[in-house]
Amino acid sequence: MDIKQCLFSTMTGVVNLQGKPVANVRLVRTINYNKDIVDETVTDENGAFEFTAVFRNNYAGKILPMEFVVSQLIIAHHEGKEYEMWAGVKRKPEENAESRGKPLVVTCELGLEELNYKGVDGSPITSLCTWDAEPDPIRDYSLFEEDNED
Amino acid sequence: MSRRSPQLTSDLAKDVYDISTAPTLNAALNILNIKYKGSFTFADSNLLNARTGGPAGIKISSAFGFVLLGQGALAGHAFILFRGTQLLADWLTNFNVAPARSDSGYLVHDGFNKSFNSMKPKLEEFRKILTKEKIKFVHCIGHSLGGALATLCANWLQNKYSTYLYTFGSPRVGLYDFSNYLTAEMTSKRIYRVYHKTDPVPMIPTWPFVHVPESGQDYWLPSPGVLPSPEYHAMDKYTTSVSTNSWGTLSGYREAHKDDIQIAQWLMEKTRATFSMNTLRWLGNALIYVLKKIKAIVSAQQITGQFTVMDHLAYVLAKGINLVEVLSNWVLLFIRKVMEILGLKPVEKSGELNKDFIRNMLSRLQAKINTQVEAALRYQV
Repeated sequence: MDIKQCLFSTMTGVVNLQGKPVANVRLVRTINYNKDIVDETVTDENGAFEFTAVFRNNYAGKILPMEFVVSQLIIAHHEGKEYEMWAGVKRKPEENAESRGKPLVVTCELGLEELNYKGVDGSPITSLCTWDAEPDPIRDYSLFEEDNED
Repeated sequence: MSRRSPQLTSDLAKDVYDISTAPTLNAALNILNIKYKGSFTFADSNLLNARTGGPAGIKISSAFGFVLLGQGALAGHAFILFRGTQLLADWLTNFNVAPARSDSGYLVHDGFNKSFNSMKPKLEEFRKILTKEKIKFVHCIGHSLGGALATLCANWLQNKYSTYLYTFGSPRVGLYDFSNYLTAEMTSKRIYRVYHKTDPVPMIPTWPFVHVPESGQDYWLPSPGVLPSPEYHAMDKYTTSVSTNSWGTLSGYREAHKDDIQIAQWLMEKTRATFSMNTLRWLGNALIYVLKKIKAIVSAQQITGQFTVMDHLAYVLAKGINLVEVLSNWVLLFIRKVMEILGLKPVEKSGELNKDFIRNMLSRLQAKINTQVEAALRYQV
């Protein structure tokens, strides 16, 4: 029984620097799920880019069900500098899990001083990007500690 | 009691995968720092000293997981997190190996033990940090095969620290004596074994491996259906089922414990037993019931590591046959149930039983269970 799993959903978007779209930014994507899959693209004159989705077939026959844990990384190369534009861990095999089922459309700002963190349906993503997806609520664990019984 | 909540421990069991898979150090630190709001730091000083902000993929953890030190309200607590790894899987259904001696001297699965021992040098380093940081409480946490490693880690540390063990969908780790020892030492108040009713992984390795805790409370979560269902092994199914419930609430899901009288009645039942998950649960309880009766009379045997696990069990049961009439009757009833489940005509008298015969029946049953579990696991999601 083969099951198609999405390792990285199709991502379209724009790369900005100080709010202005930047052309010719080299974007290198590395996906790791037991092995590295690397590809790259370059932003066009409008700062726009697209990475198409990457899938794998999860073949039957293994003895243990394996956790779905995929490392996603996009490094932006611009004028001799490197930026961690997207560093996520995909935890759901469905396509567009990174954006709760909607197409993944990002706006990235290389000039950000701090990396954004967002958990989306259990997948934690650190990035220089914003996209339309409600973040997972941050839990307050201190409220859930057990009482000191006996 | 300094146990931590189901929500915190199940989230950590999930996040050990995320943090150890995160492609950059920043991404790993963000998961820890933002999600847990500064409640933890990594114990690995190499990690803390690692260059931050560098985009190069940083190997942020050792293969098994990592150690977190509690901050603020969690000062004095350390959390040792283990991730499941596919590398251990092949060992699970291979029983033609001698069991190995664990740190407490009791026999455990050789594959898990080897794997745990390979982590020892790293864990020894962490132990020095625990001493330096004046850690009092150690929480060993793991999902799947990581649960087996967390169990061995708790076994290793429990007489040095106030140790808590939390496992989610863990396979069985050791033989009866191991489980009995660790349960007695830690008590079930410090052992939190969480499993979905239909998760197939806790069904393996089959007997004579026995779960920890061997008796007392465990945390059985409902999942749909009656057949083994691999999707209920996934960690996110566990975090969802656990949700924000307390241990007290989760303990209420447990089906009623089979007490000794019920088990004895089941063994004596005239109706033929058939193969099902429910029958296997009964049989597992009955095995422990019979073993306890034998152990109460037979002094602790020096079983060498040269026995395979099946030899060990057959040896102990055969011992019971030879000792006292009342024991041999319980062994006979147990073997009769095994034969019924196998679709064989049960033997009538204990005189027909000897070690080889018992071993043969147990091996056939084990082969049957393995076939069923493997078939279920092939339909993985």
